[in-house]
Amino acid sequence: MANTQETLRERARILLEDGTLDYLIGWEAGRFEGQTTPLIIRTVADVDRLIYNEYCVHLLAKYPLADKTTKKIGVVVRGCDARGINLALKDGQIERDRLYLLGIPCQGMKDAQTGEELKKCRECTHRNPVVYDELLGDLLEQSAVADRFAEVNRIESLSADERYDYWADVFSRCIRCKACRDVCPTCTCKECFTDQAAKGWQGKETSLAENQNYGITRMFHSGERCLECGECERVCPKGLPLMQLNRKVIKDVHELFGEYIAGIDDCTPSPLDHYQLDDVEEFM
Amino acid sequence: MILKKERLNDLLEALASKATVYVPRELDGQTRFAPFAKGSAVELGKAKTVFSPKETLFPQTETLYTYAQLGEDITLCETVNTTNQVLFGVRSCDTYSIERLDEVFLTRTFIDTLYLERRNNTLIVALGCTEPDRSCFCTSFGIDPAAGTGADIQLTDTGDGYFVEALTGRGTEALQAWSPFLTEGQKTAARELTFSLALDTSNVKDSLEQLFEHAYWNDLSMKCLGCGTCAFVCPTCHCFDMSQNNKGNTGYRFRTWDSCTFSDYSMMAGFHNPRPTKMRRLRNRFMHKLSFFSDRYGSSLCCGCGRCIELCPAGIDISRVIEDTSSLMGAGAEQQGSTAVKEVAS
Amino acid sequence: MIAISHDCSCETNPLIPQVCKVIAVTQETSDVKSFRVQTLDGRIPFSFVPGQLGMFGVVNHGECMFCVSMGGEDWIEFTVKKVGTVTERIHQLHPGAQVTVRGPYGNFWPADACKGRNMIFIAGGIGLPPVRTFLLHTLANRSDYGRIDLVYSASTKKDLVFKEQLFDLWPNEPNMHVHVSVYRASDDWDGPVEFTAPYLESLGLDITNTTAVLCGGPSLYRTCSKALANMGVSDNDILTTLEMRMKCGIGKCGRCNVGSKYICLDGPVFTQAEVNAMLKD
Repeated sequence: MANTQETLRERARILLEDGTLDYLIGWEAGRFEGQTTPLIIRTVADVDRLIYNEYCVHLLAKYPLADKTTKKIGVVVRGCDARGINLALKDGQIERDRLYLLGIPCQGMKDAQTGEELKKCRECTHRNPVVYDELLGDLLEQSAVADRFAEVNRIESLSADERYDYWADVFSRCIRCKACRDVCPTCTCKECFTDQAAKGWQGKETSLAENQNYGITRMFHSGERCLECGECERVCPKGLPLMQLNRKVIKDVHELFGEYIAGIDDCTPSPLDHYQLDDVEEFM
Repeated sequence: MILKKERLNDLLEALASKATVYVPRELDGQTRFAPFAKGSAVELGKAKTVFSPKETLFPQTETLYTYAQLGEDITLCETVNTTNQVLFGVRSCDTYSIERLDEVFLTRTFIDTLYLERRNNTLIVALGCTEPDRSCFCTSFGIDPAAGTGADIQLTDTGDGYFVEALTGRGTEALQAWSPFLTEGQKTAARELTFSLALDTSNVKDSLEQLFEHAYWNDLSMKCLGCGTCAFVCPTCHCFDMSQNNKGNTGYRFRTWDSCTFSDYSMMAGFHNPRPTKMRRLRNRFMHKLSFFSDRYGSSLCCGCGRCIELCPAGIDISRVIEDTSSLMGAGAEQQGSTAVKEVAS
Repeated sequence: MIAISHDCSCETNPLIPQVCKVIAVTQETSDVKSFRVQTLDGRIPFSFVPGQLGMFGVVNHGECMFCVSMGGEDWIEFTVKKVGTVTERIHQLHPGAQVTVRGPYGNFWPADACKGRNMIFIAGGIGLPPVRTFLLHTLANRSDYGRIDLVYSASTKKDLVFKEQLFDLWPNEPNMHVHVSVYRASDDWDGPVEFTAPYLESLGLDITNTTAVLCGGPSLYRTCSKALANMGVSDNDILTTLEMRMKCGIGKCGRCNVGSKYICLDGPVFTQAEVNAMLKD
């Protein structure tokens, strides 16, 4: 990884110097050991702040989307970041020629405090970037992934009352900081339903009913577009198991429409954004 | 007087028979203040809890009044808080924060009745820290981790017990009920604590004001997600929104925590927003913490508890903001400002 | 119980409104109405000083902050433009409807400090209601003030509020001069068609010993304060009333700050010099 970091800095230096990039989005070290934070580099002088190590936990894919200028943006992309970029391209959130993607095959990131690989990385199906302009390092063999639907299967086996109680307990703890929405690469609406208290779409109160409305509606909004990047779970200050909900949607979509991997490219229509004559239509 | 550690649960049980006693407990893997019940494991720990006790005085959602409508006639019924409560094991960062909340809610022309009622019904028992966390930096704001100013009773860990002293008349009165659980004993000298995080905050207010237009805020805010985590875990953040939950002819009006980083925070009817960009919202947050509040109330609104540092999803770190602004000033902000970029709308 | 010392004189919860009733509704324009309200037992909801704010709402839809636009012996009036969900609901109110009112909040126009001076009131669209109480105060105490000018504009003639006062009453007041312009011409308008700021500058008003009172949207405020500076009015002699989103009105909920000032407590009335000194966060 030290090598990757050196290569990254070297390339960043060149790309900023020759004007290919207006700025580059990567990571820098935080204050504490193993702590990192996203970084925007605009000048060669700052290049040595760039790091790449096993603690770069933040997904970068959403950061370029806020910039609606014509600037050329460099982004360091691993599997999850690259899939996020593809999703944004497919959704028309940014133009491909405004991006320069430095791909890094990812070995998985660790929690700095426990030293363990992050849950989201243990469940990762695409460690290699699926889109990039240049690759730093060699592509990895995709290692076997733990059954990422195991938790969904377990919850599905519970009775309806037990499932209700389980999710009621989860959402009774939600503080509605909206970090899961704000970090989510599928959440790019200019006006989010959760901010429409005046229209009555989402009450401001923190109560079980409002919290469930928030969490469950969000799950359906992201739907099969979920990249399984696991950022919602990582950022949740209450540690809520939000990926279980997303995986339930993904599992159902797979069963109904066949396997679909969001963000694998920037053109394949997702099952729910088009229809085919042989689609299941049990609700019709 | 000394409270032996083996008598702690007996004391809490006795207190819990007369009031709701909030103690640090580990629930779902995180420490926070929760009601003590017989048999609850109390996690007094060495320093702060993951979540502050703010919600015991200023709940995230609180009903202001209920209403009922019959034909044209409307009746309102005010909420009154009468429950007695004890906050047990509150650290100095949090007692400092409660003092700031007192200033906000109980001074400057209006008093906030619901807060006053809770505050009047609350006994605060502070506990000196024995080992700061990595993100603790209360001493940088002149807070003494061994002395919970604003508390009624101070506890100091003596090894096998806690030295108990009343700080207010109310504390003295409350201690009468504690006497069956106390033994004679002297205070041991406060342990010298080492803070790995210590900052010079003396010039932060001036620095922030002078760097108000600096490009620094653009890059900092670019990584901000605009969520409310920092505000919701902050023991001093007190902004709230007001709304109502209407159920046919009845309902209630409530207030609920809000965050200045939310995009709809200052949005007015007709979609005019005086702080339309994330940069301006994030800058306002740090200015409020480190400058605006002290203009108004004379003290810092950051207590250095470090909770936002631990939980910010993007790794934004208020202690680094303090350091960065200080070094930008040292380096001559004008030159650094040459990298100035146009504010990016987001 | 300990008593925490405080400097508040209120005995009741300041966030709990009074239930009041609407006693009259005036349609000012297609999207502006004035609502006269009094308590259920026929009293004034609260006494106020011109410039102060009040929270006016419908119990199951919420409340909004307005500057009181007029007051009588036993009523106060709010003039409300339909811009959002709450104001839309307010617009459906009819006489007899019960509403919620709390206040007064904020500071007020410095009417005493302006005694002996000439006054220029400048407003655009829905900016006239907050200025009107001050204007009416100067007319009620006519000998305390010199020449009075009102410069008022709106998009079209039909968007001008308080037309009766504007065209029939105020022009007949002694030493008062009413100047009205619109931004867009129409067949029923034969007066000036001009934006407020250039119109103001074109009037050639004498600004000696004069205080200007300004209220309008962000662009009117920006252009007219510049126009006043061009005319030679000093920043200390320009008064304005600022608007921010407000929820509590009592300096607690945090959102109406401009720098370290809270509009609900320290404002809404500021001099231009004070506004200049604020950090434009």
